[in-house]
Amino acid sequence: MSYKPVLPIGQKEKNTLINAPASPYVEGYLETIGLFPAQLHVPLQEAGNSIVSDCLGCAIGWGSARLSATLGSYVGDSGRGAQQKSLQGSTIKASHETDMSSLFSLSMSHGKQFTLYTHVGGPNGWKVASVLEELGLTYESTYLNFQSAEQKSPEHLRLNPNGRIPTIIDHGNNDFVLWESDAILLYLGEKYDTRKRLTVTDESEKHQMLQWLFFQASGQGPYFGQAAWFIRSNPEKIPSVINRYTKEITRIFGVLESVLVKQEWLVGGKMTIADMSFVMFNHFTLVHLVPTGHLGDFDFWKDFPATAAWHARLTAIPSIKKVIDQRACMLQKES
Amino acid sequence: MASASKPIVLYGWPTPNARKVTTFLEELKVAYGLDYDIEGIDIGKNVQKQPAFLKINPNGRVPAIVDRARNNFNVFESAAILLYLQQHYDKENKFGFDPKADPDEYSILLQWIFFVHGGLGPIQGQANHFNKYAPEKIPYAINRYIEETKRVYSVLDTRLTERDWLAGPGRGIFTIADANAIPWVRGHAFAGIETLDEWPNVKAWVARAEARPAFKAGLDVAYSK
Repeated sequence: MSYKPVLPIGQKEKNTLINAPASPYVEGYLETIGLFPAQLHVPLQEAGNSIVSDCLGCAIGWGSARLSATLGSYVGDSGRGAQQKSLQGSTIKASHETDMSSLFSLSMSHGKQFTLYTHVGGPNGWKVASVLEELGLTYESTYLNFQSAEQKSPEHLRLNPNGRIPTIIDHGNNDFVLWESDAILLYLGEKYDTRKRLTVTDESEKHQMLQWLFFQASGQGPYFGQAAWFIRSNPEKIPSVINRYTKEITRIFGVLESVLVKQEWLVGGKMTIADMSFVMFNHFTLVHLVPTGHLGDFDFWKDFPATAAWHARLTAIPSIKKVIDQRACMLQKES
Repeated sequence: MASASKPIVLYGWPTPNARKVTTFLEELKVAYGLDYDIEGIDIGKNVQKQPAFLKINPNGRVPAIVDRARNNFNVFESAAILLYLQQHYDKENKFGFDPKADPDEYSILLQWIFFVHGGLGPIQGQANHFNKYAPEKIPYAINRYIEETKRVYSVLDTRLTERDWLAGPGRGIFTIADANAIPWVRGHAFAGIETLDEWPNVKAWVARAEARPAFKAGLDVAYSK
């Protein structure tokens, strides 16, 4: 059976179709974990990296508890060390030791590498989830109830003194705790993006990536957040305040437009965590704020065509689409 | 040659965010002899939104830097500037951590930098706006942002319990995380928060930083137009 790859737009040259016809191992484990072939993201095999761990990464991302036993029997030797297994015409190299062991040192009872404290509606938790998904990392989401102020509970404050989400615990790194969504993105990129697909390595580009992340963290997030508050949540609708923040939304889109009209992605000539950091709040704005009419005759495609195209490319990425759909589904169930 | 001795040009004005950079540049001057040029961008006259400056920072805000020793590489976003300067000009890691050698300390540093950059600056900035600049006095808005600024001060106060500085092992060391925060916190009165008495660890921390001669010099940097 051949596997239809899911290609992130803009990275066509980096992905390839892997044909692995009629292999009892591969078909068997795919069935075990309930993966349908069309969902299998099969990235390019590079020296020192593993098709298997990447497949597993995605498979784990979709959720499977039986994977480790299946993988263990497949690559042998407890999954450690570099080995080669031939698979009816496809050659799969076992990954570098670190990759494999990090997939299996899961100490929490839920068996996933990360615990993610998050929220159903808010954008920042989903931002982290999308990067975890894209990197093929396993995580267990705990959705905190803001009505009962769970994010301010002593248990959560002990982890995150700011009492906001997201907060992560990396059980693959001595239960390391981290909060601030973009600091988390940088941590995930630094530690787990082994093929540097979502981050940059060039000195100067690293600084540009930081620049865009800080702009997102301080210039987009909090301002879009204030707009959301005054439009949706504040009991009193105060026009001058709403105007202040909707004007700023338009200004921020203008800044992005001025850059994206000249280049496809914010940095590195490819999709990175910098681009991904903007998506959820842009999505939130388009879906929840624009329809209220408070942004006047805002027309995304007409007013900010390059930005709209960039946002469309991003929301078509399967990992991002997945979290957007999951959020929509959960919000619907809640209401 | 000017650029060899003064590689960095800072575009700024007397604002908290520009002071994040001037305080750190002064610390680098004392630690390494690094000097810098400054260009005043008069935000009262909207110079920051003019095409010449938008080429340096499409967001049209200050601060921004250009590094003449690295092909006129430019950086905007004050926290990104601090990280840039620390990486390139603090070779002995006196004011930060090496991401490869000390990855967890580095991640914690980043976390506190993002917290202040995203969670204090813009929020206290809104408090400033509604307290001092908005034509209409809107009690709800003033209150909202003052209360959130106070909440952030409380988080900082908890962190600074039995610590001298935000990041680093033990009681911490002075790092760019502190330079990133203190210029805002010391401006509390402008936002409508009279004193820091409610947050004794924060109050001591601000005083501790202001007692550093280099840091103090950075706070008082003057711009010509």
